[in-house]
Amino acid sequence: MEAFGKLVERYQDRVFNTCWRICGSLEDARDLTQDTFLKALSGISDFRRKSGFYTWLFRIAVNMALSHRRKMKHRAAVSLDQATNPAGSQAERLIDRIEQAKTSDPSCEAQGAELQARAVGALYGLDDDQRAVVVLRDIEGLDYRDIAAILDIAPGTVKSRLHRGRLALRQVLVSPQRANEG
Amino acid sequence: MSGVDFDKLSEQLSAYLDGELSGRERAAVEAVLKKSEPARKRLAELKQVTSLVGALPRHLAPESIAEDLMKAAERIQLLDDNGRAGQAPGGGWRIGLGVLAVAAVVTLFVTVALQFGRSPGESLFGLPLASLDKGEGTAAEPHHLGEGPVGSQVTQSDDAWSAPRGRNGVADETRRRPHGKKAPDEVTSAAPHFWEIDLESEDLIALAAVANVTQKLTAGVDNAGLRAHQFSNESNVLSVAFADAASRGAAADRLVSDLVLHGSIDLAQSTEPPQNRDFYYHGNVDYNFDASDEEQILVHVRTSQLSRVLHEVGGSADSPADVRLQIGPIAARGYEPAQALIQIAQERYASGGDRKTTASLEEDAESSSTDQAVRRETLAGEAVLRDVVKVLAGKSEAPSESSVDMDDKAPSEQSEQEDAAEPDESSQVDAPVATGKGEERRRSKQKDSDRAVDEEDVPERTPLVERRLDTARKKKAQREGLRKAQDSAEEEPAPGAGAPWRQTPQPETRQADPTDDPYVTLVVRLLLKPPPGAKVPPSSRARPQNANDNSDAKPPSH
Repeated sequence: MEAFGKLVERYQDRVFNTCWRICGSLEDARDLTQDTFLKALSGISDFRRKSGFYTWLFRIAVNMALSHRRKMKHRAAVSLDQATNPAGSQAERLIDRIEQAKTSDPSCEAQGAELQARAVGALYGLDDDQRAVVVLRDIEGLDYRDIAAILDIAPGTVKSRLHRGRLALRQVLVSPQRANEG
Repeated sequence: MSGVDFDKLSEQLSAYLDGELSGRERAAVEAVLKKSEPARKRLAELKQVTSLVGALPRHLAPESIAEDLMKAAERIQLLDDNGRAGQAPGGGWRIGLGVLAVAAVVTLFVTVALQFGRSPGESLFGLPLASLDKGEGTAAEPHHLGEGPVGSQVTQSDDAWSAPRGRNGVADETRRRPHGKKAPDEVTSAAPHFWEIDLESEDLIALAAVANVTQKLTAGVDNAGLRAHQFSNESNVLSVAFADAASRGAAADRLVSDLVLHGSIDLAQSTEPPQNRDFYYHGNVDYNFDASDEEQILVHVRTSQLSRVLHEVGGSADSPADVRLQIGPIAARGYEPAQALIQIAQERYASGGDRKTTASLEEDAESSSTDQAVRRETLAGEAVLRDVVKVLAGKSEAPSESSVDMDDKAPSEQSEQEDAAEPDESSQVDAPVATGKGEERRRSKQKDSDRAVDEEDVPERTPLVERRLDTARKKKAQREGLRKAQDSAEEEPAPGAGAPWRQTPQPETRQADPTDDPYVTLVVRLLLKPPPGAKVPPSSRARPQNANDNSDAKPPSH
């Protein structure tokens, strides 16, 4: 029991932050973190040494977060479509999300960091696949191989998704004039 | 540069930023960067993006997460305690198997949450845990936790959330638990810790591997116990001590190669749970075991293959005395006694008579009230075997040499004592060299053994004993023939020949009916002899605990 507590203690912050940055909601991230540990516990017999425990745990977390986000997106599809321009580019959708992020992310509110708010909004505006890769690489600092194992994709796919995600972020985060030059 | 080319370059720049390019690619990118201003600009922009995203604030996980999870774990333990009640305590085959029990009870726990109307995406922890003890929830069909293998309740689905079975039964069963009236704290504090996961991922591998061995679920997994016992609660253990790591590693490689060649699958690499087929699981010191002086290979083979396993591993030892085999309650020290023990075990299995040797312990334990009772019964059933093994091993042997332990201790006790003492014993063994003295000693022992056969000094003449004597006579005749041939040949052993006591295993004689050649699980322990004069205290075998290491260091990827 004590060891289980230590296991949770060791990984909960990273799992929590990953879930948070993928699903975009602190409350949902909390639930997803709990569910991740429970699912890991229940699926321990499926764990094999092909991957490390950390990778395996994150695979569960990311899959749950992405699955949760898809459900949320489906539920909110109508309202989002009304609020945003369906024909707009991804960059336009990112900018829309920045305003939402300012009110939904307490850390940004507290710090009042405009740039961070823009980064958060831009991140949440990315496609799910790209956001997962960006979060795992730029926030969690995992290498391509681990990311590939977590997402069950080829390292080459990690590379291209990450690149596309960064380009999308660049359009919002780097000055529009400079970005357009590229 | 075309748009496509620049996109490709940009992707390379992104990977360059992450240090994910090969040396050649990196050099190519750097060459472009020297010449191209747009490339340098793109790299700077990508850097800016990654810096901004990487600098986003992080939140500590709410403390309530850990608290709620601990409540859940306590709940699991409560349920597990109930599951344990219907089963015999202890038993080596149970080590680690409770992992799946944990899975079962977690699944059931989750279904309780679902019963309260929660969807998978919602938190489980609004669940009024205490309400279970108060008997809330709807009673429905009986839930069989504790009345049979817990495994029957484990969903095979990856998705625990989709397992509706037993949903109502949990609440029903929980109400009927004998300790249901006790306060949860009282129960959990009294119950043994049925599981502990060490922070090392390798321990989890070991747990998972052991859990897959028989796919049987019992409550009682104890990671600490797993480490301490080193699988030694298994009834069948082959221990071989080596002088150095290189020879030990070579023996391990040889055994694994042989197993693979004969169709064994690597349990850790298997994507399907092995059912009734050959497999092995190789854990080494860097993986899942505490002891710094041993490797272990868990082997699941038919009894007819045991002699080959013995040959591959035991044949590499410096001395026959470095080989020790325990099958069930009998332990044979020395290569030849081990061979004899295997043959006896094979015959016992094949005879279909009293099979209470090892594998049947598992079946017996399920129907017996205690393991100890089963073992006592087993020991009584092995009386004939003991006599035969005594004869084969030669009664006049010195205890420190090839001998047979006939201690009436339960296997687990015996194994624990061996665990503690084995390195020292190894160091005490006067290991003869492969030729010279060792050969003389071996021949002397053989003479003793042969004399016993000649004189037919057998305390009890049962049909089994008669068969063994027949076999021994034939072997003696073979040896004498071989000896004559050797005497007439040159004294110099042929290149590549092993020590004289290393005999080629007899060809596998698979029974026509596979049920006559059942599977057994054998733990092959490859030990390292301590340096001469060194005493290894048992406590030093434990790996330093790093449970307090909460660093964010990434575990080694495999």
